[in-house]
Amino acid sequence: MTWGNVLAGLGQMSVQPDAITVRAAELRHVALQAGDSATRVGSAPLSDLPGAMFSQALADACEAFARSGATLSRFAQTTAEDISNYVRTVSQQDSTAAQGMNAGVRQ
Amino acid sequence: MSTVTVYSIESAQTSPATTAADVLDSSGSAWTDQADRARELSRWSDAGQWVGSASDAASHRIQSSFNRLDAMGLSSQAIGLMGTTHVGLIEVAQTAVRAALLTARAAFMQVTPQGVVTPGPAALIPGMGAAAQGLASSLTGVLSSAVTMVQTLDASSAGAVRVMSSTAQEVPEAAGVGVETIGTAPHGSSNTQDPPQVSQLDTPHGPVFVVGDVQAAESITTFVSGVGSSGEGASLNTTQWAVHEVEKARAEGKNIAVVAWHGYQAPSSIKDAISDGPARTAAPDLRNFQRGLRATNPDAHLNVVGYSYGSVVVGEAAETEGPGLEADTLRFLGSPGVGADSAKELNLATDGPGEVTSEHAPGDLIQLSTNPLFGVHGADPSSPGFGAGRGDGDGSSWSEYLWNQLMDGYIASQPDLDTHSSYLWDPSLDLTGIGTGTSPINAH
Repeated sequence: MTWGNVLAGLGQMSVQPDAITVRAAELRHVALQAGDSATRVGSAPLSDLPGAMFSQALADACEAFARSGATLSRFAQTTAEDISNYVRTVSQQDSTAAQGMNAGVRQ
Repeated sequence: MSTVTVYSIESAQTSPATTAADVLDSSGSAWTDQADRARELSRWSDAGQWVGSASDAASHRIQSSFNRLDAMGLSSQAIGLMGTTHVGLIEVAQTAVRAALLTARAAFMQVTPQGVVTPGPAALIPGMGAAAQGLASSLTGVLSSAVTMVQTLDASSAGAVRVMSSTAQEVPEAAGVGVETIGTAPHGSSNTQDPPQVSQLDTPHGPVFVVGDVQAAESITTFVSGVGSSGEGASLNTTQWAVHEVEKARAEGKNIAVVAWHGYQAPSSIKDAISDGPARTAAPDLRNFQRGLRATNPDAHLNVVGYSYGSVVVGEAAETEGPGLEADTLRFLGSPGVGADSAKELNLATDGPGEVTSEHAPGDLIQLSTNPLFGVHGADPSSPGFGAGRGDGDGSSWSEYLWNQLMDGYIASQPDLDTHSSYLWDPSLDLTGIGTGTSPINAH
């Protein structure tokens, strides 16, 4: 089940599909950038400073931030895609309904 | 990694650590900027472009991920700054050690790894013995102080980094990744399985929605909502969430049932939520409901989730003086307190060890209503002193708790956020998952 179908189940009072599609596309882009940042953190060089603890803590922090950042980035990308799919469905439903009304008017 | 000696200080290569600190700083800065932008983009209702329950749910889902990234970003920048400072101090020590070693070598003195200098042949030169001994003592002072300083710095900096990196909590992959490939929708999309059964039980104090097959489920999660949850919109939200959870579990090969328990007259406002009266009234009904679940399916794992004021209801239902709440795990979300000062005061009727956990979203202002010692409804169940934590008994340390409180203040300072309403839609939370050991317990 896509999370976007939860949105459909909640119903909507008002939505402008084109505007939300643009926002969702940009959100997906921002989420991808967040993933890039996570990749950069994950590839930070390991240090070997005197002492056993700080270098290890720094390496662990980089690993944890990279992993969480990548996961959160994927969550946000998926949500942005779900939103896009949802508003596309709404748009299609509006379009079908409008065609039906037009057909009725012509008759 | 190396132990601290004068020689490891002398030969330390600081540039990798400097680079790592720079990467953490710049990536952290990027995350905070990206979070600002994402929050701005998700304010579609302000522009009148998308209004209603679905709009709110979508905003919460986006913002919950980016709020976590934002807190991580600030922490990452702080670690970067800490790393740069640490390296700077190592370089100061290195300069002093190199100068002292240069002097000792010029005088043919011997130096132990811990920085103790002995005069060596210089002490044998007539008239030079006392002076050589004095120089050796001075150099020993410099070198051993450098070793001690670096050892202390290593431990303290590492501790600080570990505290600050606690914002990068474990996120259960199953909670959010893969939702795009899962198959059904509550309202008619193409699917290979029938949508889960949704049953409504009408009780004298409100409806209870049961999603899935309670008799056959391997686990049953009862979700108890909070303030304002007696309205129709609230039950639509929780029921949709429950359907999603059941279908998500199906896709993972699990058979679970989820109950949206609205069987009490919830406070309609924050002001009304100061009273524990509604919770006390609701507690016996929740206990009876859970008893019924246990009788219906004795083998199922019973998980009870109390959200916001719902956590007060759950806490009252599990009070020590009472008969106990049939539950194997309790999870508190965005709790203002649970009417108990510690997890030990909660009475779970379970054959297993029982597990009590508590968490709140970054920036949830509900934290203002409670603290580690007391609150409107008791001590903060997310504080280390409460004793809630992961199934293995671990929880956050006081330092991590306080750091995350700072991050809460930072996130809460962002405009137009309502993180307290985000829990159902936060992809980082796996509210119906059990026994994974990876839930972000006691985390923020």
